[in-house]
Formats: sequence, structure tokens, C-alpha cells
Amino acid sequence: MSKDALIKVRNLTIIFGKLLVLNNVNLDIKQGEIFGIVGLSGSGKTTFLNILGGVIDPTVGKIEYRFLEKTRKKSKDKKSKYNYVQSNQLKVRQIFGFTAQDPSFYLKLTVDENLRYFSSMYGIKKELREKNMAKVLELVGLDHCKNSLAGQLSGGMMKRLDIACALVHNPDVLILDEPTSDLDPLLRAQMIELIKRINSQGTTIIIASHFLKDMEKLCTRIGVLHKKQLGTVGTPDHIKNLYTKNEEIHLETYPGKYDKILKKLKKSKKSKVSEIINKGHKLILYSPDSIKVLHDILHILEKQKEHIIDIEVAKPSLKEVFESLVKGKNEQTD
Amino acid sequence: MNKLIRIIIKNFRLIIRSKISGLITIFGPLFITLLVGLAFNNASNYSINIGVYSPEYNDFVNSFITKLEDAQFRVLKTESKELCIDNIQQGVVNICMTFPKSFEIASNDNKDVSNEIKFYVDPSRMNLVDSVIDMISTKVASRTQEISAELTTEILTTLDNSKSTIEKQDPRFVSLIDMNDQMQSKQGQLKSALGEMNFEFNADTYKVGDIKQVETTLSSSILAENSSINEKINESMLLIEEILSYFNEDPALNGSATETDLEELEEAIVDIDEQLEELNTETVDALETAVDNLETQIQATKEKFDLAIDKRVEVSGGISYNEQNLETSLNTMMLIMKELQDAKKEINQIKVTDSETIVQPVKITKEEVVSKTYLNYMFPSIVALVIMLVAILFSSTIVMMEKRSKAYFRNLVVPNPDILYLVANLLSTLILVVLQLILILSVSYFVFDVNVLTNILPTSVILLLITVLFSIIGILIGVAFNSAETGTLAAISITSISLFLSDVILPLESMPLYFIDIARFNPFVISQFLLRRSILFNASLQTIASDSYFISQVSALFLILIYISLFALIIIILNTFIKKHIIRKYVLRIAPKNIGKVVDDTAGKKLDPVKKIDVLLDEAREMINIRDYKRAHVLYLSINELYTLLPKKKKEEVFDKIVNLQEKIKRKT
Repeated sequence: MSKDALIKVRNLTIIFGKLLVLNNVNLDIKQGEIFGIVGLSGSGKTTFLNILGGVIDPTVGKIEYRFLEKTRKKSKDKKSKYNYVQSNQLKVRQIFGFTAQDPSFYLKLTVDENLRYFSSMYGIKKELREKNMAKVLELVGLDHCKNSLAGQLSGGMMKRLDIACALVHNPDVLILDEPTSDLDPLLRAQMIELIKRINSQGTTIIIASHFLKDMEKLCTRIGVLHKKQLGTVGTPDHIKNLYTKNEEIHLETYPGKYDKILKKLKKSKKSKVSEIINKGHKLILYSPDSIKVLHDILHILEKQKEHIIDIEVAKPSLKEVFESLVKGKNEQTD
Repeated sequence: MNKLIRIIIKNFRLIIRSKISGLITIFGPLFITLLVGLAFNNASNYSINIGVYSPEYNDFVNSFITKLEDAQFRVLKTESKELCIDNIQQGVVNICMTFPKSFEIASNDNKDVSNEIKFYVDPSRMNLVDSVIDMISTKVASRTQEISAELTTEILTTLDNSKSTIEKQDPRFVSLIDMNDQMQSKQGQLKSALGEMNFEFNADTYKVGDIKQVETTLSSSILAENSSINEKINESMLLIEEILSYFNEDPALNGSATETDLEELEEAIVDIDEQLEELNTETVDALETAVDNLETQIQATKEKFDLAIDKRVEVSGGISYNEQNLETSLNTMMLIMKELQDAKKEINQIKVTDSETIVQPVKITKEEVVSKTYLNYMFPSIVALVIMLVAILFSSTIVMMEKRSKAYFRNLVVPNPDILYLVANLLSTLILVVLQLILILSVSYFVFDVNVLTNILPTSVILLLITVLFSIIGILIGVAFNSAETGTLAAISITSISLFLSDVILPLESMPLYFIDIARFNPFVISQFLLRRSILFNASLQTIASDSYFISQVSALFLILIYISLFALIIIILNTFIKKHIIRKYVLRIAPKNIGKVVDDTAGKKLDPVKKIDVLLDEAREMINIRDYKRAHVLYLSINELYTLLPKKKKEEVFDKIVNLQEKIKRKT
């Protein structure tokens, strides 16, 4: 555990009624990092983020926040280094920016009105408010449509407005819950860029997402939430190396009789294919010996008179790692 | 303050931009007021159609119809009773009125005549039926009253004439009695005079026997005397004859005067004798006859007297009878006179001699104490209704909009207490209601001539309190209900119930007593009461504050304040629970099957710590079963942490279980 962590999560357990959601989660989040939380649906990612943001209280455990210098100047409590989130909710909310899975702003208000309203809710003075608004609008790229009604914005713009609303009070920490969900690949790329840009300005970002590719691109560290607990925490590469040695082969052919290809491939005893996914329009193969498998595949394709449209060999994605991790854990528990 | 203003501005922007909500909440109540104002700003009756059927439209029937037409009712004559009733069912007429055949006033000679008017009504339109029956009955009763007044006048005139006649008879009676008196007196006198008349006749007192005896004696005497006289005469004649014989013998005396004289004397004596003879016979006979006659006459007189005595007795009896009759007659007359006097006295004792007063001894008049139109009477209710509708609908709508809004979550994570939003919503509603009230009061003042400025200060205070109360009720609805549909339904239901449990639709007094007591707690009824006191009766704030409403010592104003405090408290408590429920349902998206459990324990913290430990113990045992000892150990650590927070008694409850778990983990690892 880092001594200089911005946020310390200790023994965090939350029970809703008779439902144990998170069990004894411990975590340190460093200042300036982009920390990703991945996990299956219902694994408690959103709950965890909400506890971090002080929206809900844990049943057991505590979350401590170290006020940064700029915040501490404003704070009356200048002596203490760490503050409990639960006992300083209003103060802590001031330094957190939060975007939920669904954009959270008024659809009937314009972009400008939304930002003005939420900045007022943080009690920011007029001059600073105007400055912050201009800054975040430029940052999220909505300065050209600030007079448009929020409800008339596209999905990506809405996500960006949501982030703008979360940033308008210049928070120390930005919590993003599924920021790239419901976005097309182009918008997702833009969103990733935006998050990186925000982070580059010194804002610590905590993201929860099930888009592992995006997380892989974005996060400096990742924690996997599984079975109510936070498992491995580390950089994406560290996690990938820790859990899999497979390589990923993407294959797209014409006319694409993948069933026959797979039948032939399975007959080949030399090929060590650990997993095959037939997606209909392409095949994804996982193998620790990708060169041998490629050789076999090319041979089969030639015999089957299949023409290669696309073929790609890549390192395993975080998704595959995650699936492996989850599967492994399940097997372990079973 | 800046935050409050921002929230209020935001609320109004959202409402205005939600066109339909804006239209309903802002213009709806104004539209209602305008309609109500136009509808009730008159003093005339409702536009009511009355179906009338009568087998014959005689003058008497027509007089009723004319009366109704004069009162601006629309009268529709129908050809049959059935058609008239059908017209009610089809809504052509509001009420059907049927007259019987030969509708007229029943006289003594013709008691079989029916004079019953029947009303046929549609009971499904109870509110209208009551009003219509009331109004028409009033008009019919008015005509009936007129007829009654005419009949009574007739009776009174007759009575007056009788009295005059009785009065005229008074002197006649007096005179009659006087005459009767006199007659009685005369009768007495007559009777007395008659009594005094002596018809006693004693024939013996006439001694006719004695007379007869005297007559006999006298006849005997006369006859005796006559004999004696005859003897004397005879002797005298003999003497004379002797003397003459002397003279004839004495020539000297013969021829002398003496002789002549003697002769003449002799002749005279002979005459006397003859006469005496005659006299004796006639006298005795006459005497006898006279005595007989006398006796006869006495007898006749006696008989007459006897008859007179009989007649006197008869007359006396008649007089006595007359006297008695006169007495009886007098008594009767006295009695009649007394009874007539009594009758007159009784007639005189009738103090009320005005036929109108007799027909309607108690006059009911409606005094318009405030103004002239229905709008004035209804104005406090309209204002209370508008406030209730606007405040409940608007405040529930903005709370609901906020809850349904995508921005709800962001408002949760901004560093503001929940009370800020509640106050902002309340102020937003207040501003809207105040604006609407200004508009309504201005329109009412300038267009409908409703004076609301006379008691402006107390009215303003009451309006403010009422608005706060209904806004808080609206906020409570908004907070309590999750979906807009149920929230709106609840808002409409509550306003409807408030309306039904007030006297806007039906009089409170028409409800059962226990219901009235409940209805009086209705905030709308209290609001109506307060507004009536201030707008209609210009009561001061001090008076209103000291008015006891229906619970002694508790004023309606105080009750409103109690409601405000109570509802505000409920909102604050409920909001905490509902907020957490919403977070879990919409933000954390916990599976619905668990939501029910979560609702019972919205904060997680609220769950009994022992129960929390039980949950963790179950989970840990499950982990041991699947041989995940590491996770079981982690759970054991969480259990221990919770255990340290338990009070001593609770610790005892779970101590054994925790030790048991610890041993199990130790054994397995």
C-alpha cells in the first residue's frame, strides 16, 4: 500500500439488505493516475464508485481521502492529511467529479445552462465559474454548441457534456462509470482521447468499464472486481502477463465456411489451439504457438479454396485475460 | 441563496420548456378560474329545462307554468307523462313535473279532486336534482302560497264580515232583551192585575129568596092591604053612598055641590079602586117577574163570573207560560249574545289577520350579505381550489420531474443538503402560485368585480400559509411516489378526495356525522374556512387566529401550521429513505428481487448489526463449503470489525457463532 495514495480504501464491505455486494475491498489510488475497475456485470463496480464518491456509505470499512494542497487551502481542516469520505461527504463531493453510466444533466436546459447550474451547485463564484465553463467546454469540445439544448445533442456529445458537468468545479478526482458505453468506435476513441486530456491536466481519474480494450488503452492501473472482491491490481501489461501466454489470431475469409475450417483444424494434432470463437463473419483463435497454428490454417485454407480477406495476429487482449482470470478463479473456487 | 435562485430558475425553465406540463400547471388553473368566473358571475338560476305534463292545461296549471317561466326556467310541455320521463333519461329535461287531471283546489263539495304535483327526477344527478327540486319547489310553493293566501283572504274576509254582522246585532239584542224585560214586566203586571180581579160571585148574598119572600109577603101585604083598602073603599063608598043617600033624601043637599063632589069622590074612589086593583095585580106580577128576572140575571151573572174565573185561571196560566217562555227566551238571547260576544272576542283575539302572514308565518329571506353574484360566494373556494391544484400539481410535478430527470444523480453528488432542493421546490411553487394568484385576483377584481382588497393583509397571510401547506403536500407526493404516473394519479386523487370531502360538490352536512368530523380535518376545507373568514367576512388575522375551528382551543390557522410542520417532517424522513432507494434502483441497478429487501433497510446501516454479521457468517460458511478458505477468512475479518461496534448485549448474541467460524477456518487451513 502506498503511503502517498490520494485515496485509501480499507476493508470496504457493503451489504444491501441480505445481499453482500462488496467484501473487504482494499485499494490505494495514486494521485494523477487513471485507475480502471473491471468486472462482470453486477460485480459491484458502480457500487464501488458510488462509495468512493460518497454517494452511499459502506457497511464496513472506510475510505480516506488526502486533500491536495489547493483544496486544503480552502479547507478549514488543514492539519489532518487524510479525511474520511463518509464523515466529510459534502466537503469530499466538492473535490470529486462524477459521471454515472447514463448522462446526468437536464435535457431541457442548454449546454451552457446545465454547466452554469451545476457550477452554481458547487458554490463557485461567478468569475471562476465563467472561466471554468469556458475551459471545460473547450476541453470537451462543446464550445460551439453551448446554446443547444442538451436533449438535442448526439450520444457522444451527451457523454462529453456529462463529463463537462463533472469537471466544471475543477475536481481533484474524476470518477467515470462506463464512459465509453453506448458510443460508436469513433466516439469511443474521442472519449478516450478526452479522458487522457483531462488526466494530462492533473486530474486523477477512476474509471469503471466492461470495455476492456478501452481500459487497456486508458488506464495506468487496473483492478479486477470479481466475486465481491477486488482481485489483482496492476498495470494492464502486468495483468496480461500474469494470467495468459496465449496469442490471438483473427481470421476473415471468403466465402467464409468457418465450420469446415474448424473441423479440419481440430483434426490437426499439431496445432495447439486453446480456444476458438466463431463469430460468423470471422474466427478468433487463441493459441500459445500462433506460428504453428497459422501455418496449419494457411494449409487448410488453400485446400478449402478459401480466400483470405484479413488475418491478424495479436497479443491477447485484456478481455481475454479477464475472461481467463474469471474462469480461472471460478475453476479455483469450484 | 445563489444556489436557491439557480434551482428556482432551473425549475421554471424546465416547466416552461416542458410545454404540456407548463400549460397544465400554469394555464390550467387560470382557465378553470376564467370558466368558473364566467359561469358563476351571475345571480340568476341555472339554465334548467323542466318537462311539464298535464292532461289539461287549465288556468290553475298555467299559473304554475307561468310562475316557472317567469323564474327563467325553460318549460317544455310534453304530450304524455312517459314522454316527459323519457326526456329526463335522455337529458332533454332536468326534471319532469306532472299535474293530475282536473288539477284545481279541492273544495268541500269536491274532495275527490287531486291537487298533487309529482316531480320525476334523475337520481344519478343527485347534486343537480337537489338544487332543481329546491328551486322548482320554491317556485311551485310560491304559487301554492299565493293560492293559499287567496283562500285565506277569503276566509278572513268572511270572518271579518261575520264579526261586523255580530257587532251590528249587539244593539238589536240589547233592544230585544229590553223588550223582553218589559214584556216580562207587563206580563207580571197583567198577572198581578188579573190576580187582583175578584170574580167571586155569591148569589146568596143577593138573598133572592128573601126578596121572593118579601115579594110574597109584599104581595100578600099588598093583597091584604088591597083588601083592606078595598074594604075601606067599600066602606068609604058605602059611606059616600049613605051620605049621598042623605043628600038625596035632603032635597036641600040634593043637588048641592057637595053632593057632586061626593059623587066625583065616589067616582075617584072607584077609579082608585080600579087602579088599585090594577096596581095590585100588575105590581105583584111585575114584582114577581122582576124577582124572577133578577134571579135569572143573578144566575147568569154567576155563570159569567164562574166563566170569568175559569178564563182568568186560563189567562193566568197563559201569562205564566209566557213569562216562562220570556224568561227562557231571555236566557237564550243572553246566551246567544254571550256566545256571539265570545265569538267576536275570539275573532278579535286573532292577532294575525294578514293572509300572507297566516300562509307563511315564518318568512325566509336570503340576505346577500356580501355581494351579488355566485362568484363572490364561491370566490374563497375557487381561490383555495386553484391554490390546491396549482401547488399540489406543480410541486409534485417538479419533484417528480427532478426524480425522473437524468440530472437526478448529478444533484446527488453535488455538495448540497437535500433540504436545499426541498426549499427551492417550495419557493418555486410559492412563486408560481403567487403569480397566478395576482393574475386571478386582478382578473376577479377588474373583470368580475370581486373585492379582495378590503382585507388584504390577513388574506395574504392565509394565502401564503395555504400555498405552503399544499406545496408541501405536493412535495410529499412527489417524494413518496417513484413513477410520474402514480405520482400524478396520487396528486389528482388527493385533490379529488379533498374536493369530495368538502362542500364544493355536496354540502358537508349531507354526509354522516363521523365523516363530517373527518372532512373538517381536510386541509382544503380548512383553507376554505380561513379564506371565507378573511375574504367574505373581513375577519382580522387576530380574530382568525383566535377562532376555534371545531376542536375547542384549536384555531384553523394553528391547524394549518401543525400540518405544515408535520408534512415537512415526513418529507425530510421519507426523502432520506426514498433517495437511497432510488440510488440503489436506478444508479446501482440492484436486481429487483433484492430491492424489496433493500427498501426495508435502505441505508444498509439501518440493518441490525447482528443481522449484518449473520449475513457475513452465512457467506463465510458458504465459502468454507466451496473450500474458498481465503475469502472465508476475509469475511471473518469483516465480521470481527462489525463485532467491535456492537454493544455488549449484542456481542453475547453473536460471540459463539463467530468463534465457531474461526475454529472452522482454523481447522481447514
